[in-house]
Amino acid sequence: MIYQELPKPNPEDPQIYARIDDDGLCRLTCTEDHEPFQEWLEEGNTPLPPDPIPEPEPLTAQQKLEAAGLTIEELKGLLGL
Amino acid sequence: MGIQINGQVDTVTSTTSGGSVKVTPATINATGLSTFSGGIQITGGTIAGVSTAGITTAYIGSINDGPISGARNRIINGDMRIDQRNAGASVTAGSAYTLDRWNVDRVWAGSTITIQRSTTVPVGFTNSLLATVSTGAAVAAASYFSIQQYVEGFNFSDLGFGAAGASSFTVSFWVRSSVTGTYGIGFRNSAFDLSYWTTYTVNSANTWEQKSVTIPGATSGTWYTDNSYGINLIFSLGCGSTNKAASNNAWNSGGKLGAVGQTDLIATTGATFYITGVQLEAGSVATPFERRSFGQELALCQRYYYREIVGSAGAPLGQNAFATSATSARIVGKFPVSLRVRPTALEQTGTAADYAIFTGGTTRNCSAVPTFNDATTESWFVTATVASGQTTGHGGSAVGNTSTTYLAWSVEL
Repeated sequence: MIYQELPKPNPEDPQIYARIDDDGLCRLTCTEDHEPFQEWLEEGNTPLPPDPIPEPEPLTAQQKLEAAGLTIEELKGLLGL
Repeated sequence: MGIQINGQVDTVTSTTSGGSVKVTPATINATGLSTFSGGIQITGGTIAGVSTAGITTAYIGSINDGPISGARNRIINGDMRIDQRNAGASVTAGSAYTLDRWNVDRVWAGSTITIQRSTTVPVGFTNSLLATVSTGAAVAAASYFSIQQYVEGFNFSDLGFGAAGASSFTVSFWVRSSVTGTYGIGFRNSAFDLSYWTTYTVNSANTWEQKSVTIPGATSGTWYTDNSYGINLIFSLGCGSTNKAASNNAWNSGGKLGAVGQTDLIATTGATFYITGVQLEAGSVATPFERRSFGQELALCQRYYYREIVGSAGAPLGQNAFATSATSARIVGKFPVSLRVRPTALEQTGTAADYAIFTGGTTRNCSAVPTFNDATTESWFVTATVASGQTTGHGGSAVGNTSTTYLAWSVEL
């Protein structure tokens, strides 16, 4: 078992740590105040650094339309098509 | 004034108020009398053959006092019905909580013990806690294995421990073991620097037996009276010499973990140990097990551990959710009862695909497991992550993709 820092999407977010169990799964996340995490640190352990924040997958044209609240017909009308 | 009748039975017909009737020694035939306006005082002897017919609670000052009062049992889930974490499944005992409120504490090499909620019970109960020794091993000096419960200080403070006049208390329970002999039961204070150990005997193998022990109040030591733990109740199933009490039946210094002369059940491969009906109450009398409704017992447990399980695939988790970016969402919810303290961690299944976020009319599976964001003793925030496609500000809900998908918060003692 080991702890790993999670990336902070927003600077004002609290630092959250993921506990990675021996089977590689994360079943618990916590703040730095979590008592078992503090005990783990006191045993001389150091959490792993965070993985880089993955780039979001690019939006499809349909998703871009949905995000803008437009239908294809409305877009065509805007473009005079 | 008064009427005195000696040695005979007679009928008192006067209804003059303010007087008294003295019968020495004889019987009172109260036929026809409607009231004893000044009450009846009995200063000696016994009463036999008295019918309670016609006695109403209007004439009873209070039954909510002493050992027959309500909320007697300071142990939560003493009848082992609640098992939010494992729902009856068997788990290998590490140092962790098993059935609700029941904790295993162990330093033990070479043996394997499983814990499970069982339906093997004495009459009147539906569940018990079962410990099974899959692989036994010799007891090393520093080894121990305990099944224990920490009682919150708020629920024990009225016994006045740590000062003159501390009340005694009684623990009663049903036990069934495949190994007969003397077993240790003990108690530790909040600072783990004072403990009391005594023993009980399992007389017949594989037979339910009810036991009780009465413990004198401790007039010294540190005993928290708030939301930290007030007293620690321990059933020892094994303890080496290092952690055994100096003597039984006395409050001794040190947070010891076993009784002198106790049986080490966990050294026996295949041994089984069941326990249920655990009650800790003030005073020296073991009263019948206090029955609480399932809802009451669950709510008491949820003060310390709350697991929200969707129950069916596609059902919601939490109250609602909203997108904070194309890939992130916040799930919000409220705890069913006020937690003991503010949580600092979130538990989940460990599988991202068990979770999904429904916003803007589209359900997207999570690409990472939900993570702790923040919580109070009343409500919670959880962060969820999806691959792409959300619109910031769109609302919706979190969804469990399997019937066993859950989020859980532990604030155990």
